Amino acid sequence: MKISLRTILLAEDNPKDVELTLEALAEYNLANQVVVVHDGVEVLEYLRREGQFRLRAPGMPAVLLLDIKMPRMDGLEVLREIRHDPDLHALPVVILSSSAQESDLIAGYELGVNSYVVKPVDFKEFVDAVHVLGQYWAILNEVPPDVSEDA
Amino acid sequence: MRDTELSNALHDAPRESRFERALIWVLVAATAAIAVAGFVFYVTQRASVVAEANRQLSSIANLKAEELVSWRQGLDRDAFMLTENHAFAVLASSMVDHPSETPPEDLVGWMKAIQQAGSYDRLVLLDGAGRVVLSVPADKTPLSASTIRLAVKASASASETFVDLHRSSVTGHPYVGLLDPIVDPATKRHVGTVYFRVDPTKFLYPYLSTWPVPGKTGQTLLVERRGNQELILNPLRYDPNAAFTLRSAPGGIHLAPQATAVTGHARAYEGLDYRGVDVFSTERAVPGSSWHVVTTMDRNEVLAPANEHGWQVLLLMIISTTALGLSIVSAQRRRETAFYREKSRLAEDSRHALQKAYDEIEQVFKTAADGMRIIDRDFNTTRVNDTFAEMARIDFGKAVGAKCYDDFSGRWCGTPECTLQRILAGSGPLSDVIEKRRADGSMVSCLITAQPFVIDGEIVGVIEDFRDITDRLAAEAQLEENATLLVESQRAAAVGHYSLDPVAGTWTGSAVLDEIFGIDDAYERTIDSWLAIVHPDDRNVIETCMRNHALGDCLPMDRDYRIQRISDGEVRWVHGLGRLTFDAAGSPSAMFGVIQDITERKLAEIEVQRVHDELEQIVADRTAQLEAANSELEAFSYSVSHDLRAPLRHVSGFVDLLGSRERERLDEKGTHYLDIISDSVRQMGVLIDDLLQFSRVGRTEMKRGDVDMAELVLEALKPFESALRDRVVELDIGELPHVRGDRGLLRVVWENLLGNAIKYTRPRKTAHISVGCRHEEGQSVFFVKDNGVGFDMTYAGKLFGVFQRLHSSSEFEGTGIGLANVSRVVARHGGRVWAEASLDDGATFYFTIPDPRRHE
Repeated sequence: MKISLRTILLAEDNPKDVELTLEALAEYNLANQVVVVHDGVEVLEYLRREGQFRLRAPGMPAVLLLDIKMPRMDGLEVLREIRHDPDLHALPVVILSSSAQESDLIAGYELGVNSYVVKPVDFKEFVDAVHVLGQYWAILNEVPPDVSEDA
Repeated sequence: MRDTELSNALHDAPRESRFERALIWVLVAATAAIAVAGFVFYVTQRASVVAEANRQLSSIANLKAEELVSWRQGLDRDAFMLTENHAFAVLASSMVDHPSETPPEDLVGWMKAIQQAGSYDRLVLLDGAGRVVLSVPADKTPLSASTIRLAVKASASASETFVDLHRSSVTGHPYVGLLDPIVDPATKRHVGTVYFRVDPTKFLYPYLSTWPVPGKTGQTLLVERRGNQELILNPLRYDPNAAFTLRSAPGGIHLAPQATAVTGHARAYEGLDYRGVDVFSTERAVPGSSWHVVTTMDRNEVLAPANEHGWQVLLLMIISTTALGLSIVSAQRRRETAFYREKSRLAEDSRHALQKAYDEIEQVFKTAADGMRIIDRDFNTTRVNDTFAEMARIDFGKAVGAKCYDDFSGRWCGTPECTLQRILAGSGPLSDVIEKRRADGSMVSCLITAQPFVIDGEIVGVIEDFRDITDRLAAEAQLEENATLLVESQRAAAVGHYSLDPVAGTWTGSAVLDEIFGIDDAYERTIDSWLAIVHPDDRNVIETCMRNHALGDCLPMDRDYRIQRISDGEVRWVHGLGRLTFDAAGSPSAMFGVIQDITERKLAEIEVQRVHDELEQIVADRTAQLEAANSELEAFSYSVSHDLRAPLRHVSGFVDLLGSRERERLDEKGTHYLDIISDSVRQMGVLIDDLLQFSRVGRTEMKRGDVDMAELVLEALKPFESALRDRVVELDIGELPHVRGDRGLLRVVWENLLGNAIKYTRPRKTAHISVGCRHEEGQSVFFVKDNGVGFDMTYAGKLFGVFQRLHSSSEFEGTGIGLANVSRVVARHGGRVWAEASLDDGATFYFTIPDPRRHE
């Protein structure tokens, strides 16, 4: 039985970005729900409860905020893994990237990302963008029946 | 056809006379045959009629003679019956001895019975001296003296005596009878005689004159021969007084010889009778008498039926002969009529035919495409046609009568070469090509065909036929020139042509082809010998190409191949072209083609190919280098986009956080610094974004597709919605077409141009921005026109350069990259961009996109 955690999994290697993102999420009172991992491998370990996360409580995060440029395994690779894993494929994924590169955007959507958010330079704009994430969280907090049954 | 008929008609006349002769002969023969047949018929008829008459006459004569004999026998019998009667003899003797006036009744009775039964005229009892003792019936008329003498003699001799026919010497009446002697039975004394007298006029003559068969001229003559004399004893049909008076006279009836009487057979003969009339007669001697019964019938009567038949036959003959003659004559008439009608018709037909032929010839002569002229022996033109007059350019009316050498003269006129003279001299038809001088002095080239004009075997002149061959000569010259041109141009182009017989496998080629192959006339021209010329390396391919594809599948031959020139063994490149032609049945009849020596070109091509290949390699190398550089640039810009923005974002983010957290504690200056940092960071971000875009616009691959420009303009306006919120802008978007291009890149164009228009109209109370498109010369010209601040056209050249700005940042923000991007995108679409403006008076930016068709 899958347990839906009311958590947001943030994959970001840059601590400054982590901090800014958390600040932005704090604007919507979502900061204390966030679990931060620092690369793609850690994302998969967390999701699959492997490695350092093998002892974590079971259940899937409400949403995965995924940076593209990360060490070891980048965001697009992680996304591909998730979509090909029968246990994980339903997980809502939002790419949060500094890259406005069209190729990245296209690749993300092709791999089945739920949303693609370019991190603007201006922090105010960033906060506006994170508002979208808040909406996701609100919606996805209502756990789909199949997800809760499977956990 | 008509000629044959005509000649038939002309030959019919002698045939006709032959026919007439034959007809006459037939007529004569038929007449003769009818005559002979008629004659034979007549003779046969006559013979049979005569025979029949003779038979009739003969049987009548026999009948009469036999009846006379019978009559005599009856007389004898009566005499015997009476005289041999004993009682009678006694009574008669007593009577003679004792004449009395009253004779015994028995005697008279007996005698009366005999007289009446025997139809005797008178039964007379005579004594020995010839005196009448008793006469029954009683009659005192004395007897004829000759009779008395005979009675005396008969009594004395006691012999029965026939009293022949005689005329009574007392009365002149003719009588006949029998004297039978009476012998006294007692004394055997001859006492007298009994005379049995018969009146022939009552008994014998009528009997003789009766004719047992119908006949008009039949008559019976009782004739007595006395020596050479013949005496008629009975009255005759045509001479009642003939008895005892008519004697045969010289030329009279000549009776048959004595033998007739002996044999008792009638004999027929023909001759004149007592009247001098031709008769047929038979004669029969009466036995026991000197009488002959002669029966006659007039020849005319006898022959009447035969003659009648004869006449009928003759009439028939005449009628049939006449009819035959008439019919022959009539047939002849009809034939003649038909003949002359036919002859006249044929004559009419032949006249028509002649007229038609004449008209035809006249028309042919008049309208002949060739000029024609007839000249007599004295060089006078006697006739010309219209074509001639036109050709010689002389008045048609004046041509006839003129001398031939005056009108249409040539260089032979007056020389021994003169065609007319030669033909008159008997040369026969002549033909020549010659220039003739026309009446107007111009020259014309003619093909002359001259023939002797022969009438009745005599050459009376010349018929000339002129054909204007000026054009033909020119054409021939042109043709020759063309041929030369062809040969020379083929030689110059080193092109030879050939014609191949696909069935025989042989070919012929032009002189240039011989030169290309390096062969002479002796070289065999077959497919095999041609393949022998082909370079060994190409031979298999070319043989397959020729035999299987060109000749087998009827495909056109079009190949470059090498040959080894026969003359010097040099390897040459040739280009062979060939195509089959087909006959009406659809089977290949010939293959025509050309072979060009392309060695020089081929070598050049090979060289070009080599250079090309080298260049290709260089390009490939360069491309690879460029691609490497590109990907490096890609990585660089990615890096810029990703990594350069991150610190900026951090700066921006934390300055913002700092501001929000510490603003109350900062003084005015501190707050100002924070604002400057934020502003700079933002500016830097825009700059990076623009630079990235510029880089992307130049590098990214074009994704061409159908782009709805109207839709795209609305889309490009979206980011400016907030900027426009507080402004008065009149936006006029005209009709915009679809174009073919990269949607993303074109959006950059619109965003920049519209953004500029919005930006530079900011000072205007009411901004006027119009977007439109016009179509010219295969391209769509789009424009964005505004009533903004404009610019000085002096610096228009700098407008589209990177980081080039015509306005200060403080006046109008900007990086100076937007229009550079526009220029790049438009250039990549094959279009052009330009601007028209004046300072403070608006600007119009144009760009063109070629029409899809021109681009595809």
